[in-house]
Amino acid sequence: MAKRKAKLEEGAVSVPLSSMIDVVFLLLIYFIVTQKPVIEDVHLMVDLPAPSNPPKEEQMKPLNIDVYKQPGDNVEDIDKLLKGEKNERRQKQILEGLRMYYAVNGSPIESKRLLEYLQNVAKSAPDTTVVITCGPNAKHRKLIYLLDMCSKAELTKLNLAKGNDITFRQDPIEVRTQ
Amino acid sequence: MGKDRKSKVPETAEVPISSMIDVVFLLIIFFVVTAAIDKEIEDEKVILSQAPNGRPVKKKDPRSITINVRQDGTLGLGAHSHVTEADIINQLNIMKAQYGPQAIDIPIIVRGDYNAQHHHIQRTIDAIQKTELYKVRFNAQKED
Repeated sequence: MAKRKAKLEEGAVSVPLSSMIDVVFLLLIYFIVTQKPVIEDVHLMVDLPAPSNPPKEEQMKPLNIDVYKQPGDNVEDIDKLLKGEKNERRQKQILEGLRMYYAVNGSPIESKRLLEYLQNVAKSAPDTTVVITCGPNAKHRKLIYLLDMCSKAELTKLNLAKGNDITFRQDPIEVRTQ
Repeated sequence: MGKDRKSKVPETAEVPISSMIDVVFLLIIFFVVTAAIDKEIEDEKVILSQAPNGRPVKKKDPRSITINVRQDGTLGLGAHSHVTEADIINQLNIMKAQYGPQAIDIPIIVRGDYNAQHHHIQRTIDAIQKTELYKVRFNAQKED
């Protein structure tokens, strides 16, 4: 009986447990460190123009907002825009307009004033349709910023139209807080 | 004297190893699987813009189609990393044939890189319009 026990004890294999525990914890630490934080996704909805449906007569005028690439990165662009403009005040306004990425009904507006303007519009006419036109070289993040501001101002009727090169035609817009 | 020697011999404790190995492999499989989910749809090269006021995505529609637009203008569709506008039109037409009139409700998600120029996005939108689908969603991040 004692001999059988001795034989059994001789056949048993001892596994080093400490190495296994080390491996387990190393793996856990690796996966915890390489795990990326989950960032919430957001969807900004727009309607594309549908050619088959004729536009309905709207009770209110749509709000046209243009998104464009800021000109003036080249000195030649600035020279072209200022060519022939002798009025200093007008020159100053043109240079101010160069810093703006958005234009509302043709008038450039500062990004930081855009939300205020949209909120004023939403207060007076919440069902306003916003027609957005982007210049071909405008950065996508500028469009997303505009859509985000429209979402905050609770303007939900957003149409994305096709645009060519956009140049502003009027003086910069002034936003009055209501 | 014999009794003292016997009592000094330490007793070895047996620990079940097989359970530990099972736990290790389960953990590894869990982390590998959770890391691989949605990788085929989301292109890591596309850096999304931030939109803190946008509507968060609570439940993802399994029918949705995701089009990735990278900074250099190259397009990706689902698991395919490089596609053309014709591929997008084909895929959308297949989807329309599959779902019939309900295809209008299927979300078409455009994941544009924050630095991509709009004419690349416009190419994608033109392709989508050719299939007579007019509801588009732009993907953005809530916040970093």
